[in-house]
Amino acid sequence: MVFRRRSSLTGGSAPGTTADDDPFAREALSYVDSLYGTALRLTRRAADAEDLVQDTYLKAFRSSSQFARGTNLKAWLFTILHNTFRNMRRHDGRNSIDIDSEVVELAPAVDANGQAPHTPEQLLTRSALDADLQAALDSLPEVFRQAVWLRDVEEFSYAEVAAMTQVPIGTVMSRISRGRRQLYEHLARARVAG
Amino acid sequence: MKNCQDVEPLMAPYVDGEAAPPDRAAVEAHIGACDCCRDLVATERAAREVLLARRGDLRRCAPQALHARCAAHAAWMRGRRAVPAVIRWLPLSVAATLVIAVAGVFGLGLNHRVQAVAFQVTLDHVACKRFGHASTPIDGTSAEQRWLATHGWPVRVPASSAGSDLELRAVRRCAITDGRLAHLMYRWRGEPLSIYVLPDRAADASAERVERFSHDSIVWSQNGRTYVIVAQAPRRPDLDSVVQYVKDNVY
Repeated sequence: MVFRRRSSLTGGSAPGTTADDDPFAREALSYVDSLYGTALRLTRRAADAEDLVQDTYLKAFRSSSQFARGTNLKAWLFTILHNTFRNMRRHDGRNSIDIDSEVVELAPAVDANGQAPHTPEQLLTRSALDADLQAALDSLPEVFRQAVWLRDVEEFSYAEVAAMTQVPIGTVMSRISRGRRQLYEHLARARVAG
Repeated sequence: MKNCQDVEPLMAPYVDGEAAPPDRAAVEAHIGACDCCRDLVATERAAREVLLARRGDLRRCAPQALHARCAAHAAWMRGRRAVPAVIRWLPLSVAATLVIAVAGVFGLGLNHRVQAVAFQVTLDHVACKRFGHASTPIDGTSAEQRWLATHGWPVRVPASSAGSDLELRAVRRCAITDGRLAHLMYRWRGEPLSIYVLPDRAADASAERVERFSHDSIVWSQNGRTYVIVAQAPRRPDLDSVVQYVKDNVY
């Protein structure tokens, strides 16, 4: 039986040919890039990100019957991704580099160097440089980076982000605000340094 | 009027244009009188605009191989659904038997743990080889370092060996077991061969052969680790040389 399944798979592994008559799979597979981008932000390693996305799809396809048709499939997949990531990290016995602590939550929203922030217009000009923006995002504490990324890049609602990250919606809003401000400050410092 | 602390949680929806009218009015009243919060709103808005403007650049394209593997998962599930229900139940009955057997092993103290391990990793080997891996050999030492850095426990990865006709292609955590095992993926005489490493002792020092699903599994423990070599059957005698090579090159 195992090999019977395998042979049916071998012929159907090319992208774009496997899901043509399965709307669920077709839509789910359209989010591979989005999930991979988010997985990269979470794991910071390409190989781990690939593993995470693959695990996410394995679980999603296995439990596709649990998905409520008509609801947001992308959000459902992202929830699985985040749950899988949490399990992976718990299983690896490693803590995140960025600690989700009260210290982080209460991090001051002012420039750590005590310098006057640059104007938003100046910052926008500077932000044309991708490397600075990538570095600024990477510099954020994980909980802020997750919230900002899911909201501003992946365009999820506050409620969806709250469900994925398993925190109250008010905390999500607060993290988004603080994450954006820290992002701005990092870009401003990069401008000064540059 | 709300104070700075009250307004803080309302800033994100205000900047996003999603604040309810009363909240929007409260924020506007506050920032009209508070320079600090007005600056924070401007800062947050600027950061959001940067992100929105660069959203397309920030999103990454996944590797084509990952697209293919995910599509293969979809095809696999579709294949499962296409199999008649009676046939689909058979593996479940096997699984149920396994659960009972494993429960018996641990509950009654019988010594069938090796068979249970062999069963699970053979299924994983069959699943993983569908999805392929690196097309060129990789360096074992680098793979060991990456594994240790990522997973926190050391694994000795036998390098490719021309003498054994063995090529190391990938080292991954075993997805089916949620990363409890290291999965070393090789090509042996052109065919997939897997070495699984468990971080504890689960078998005897003497190698034990188990045949499952037309595959040979050879299981043994050595220096606190358990190793399982899995390859498709009719090459039993030849596998001995691989087993010896692995034994000579692990902890």
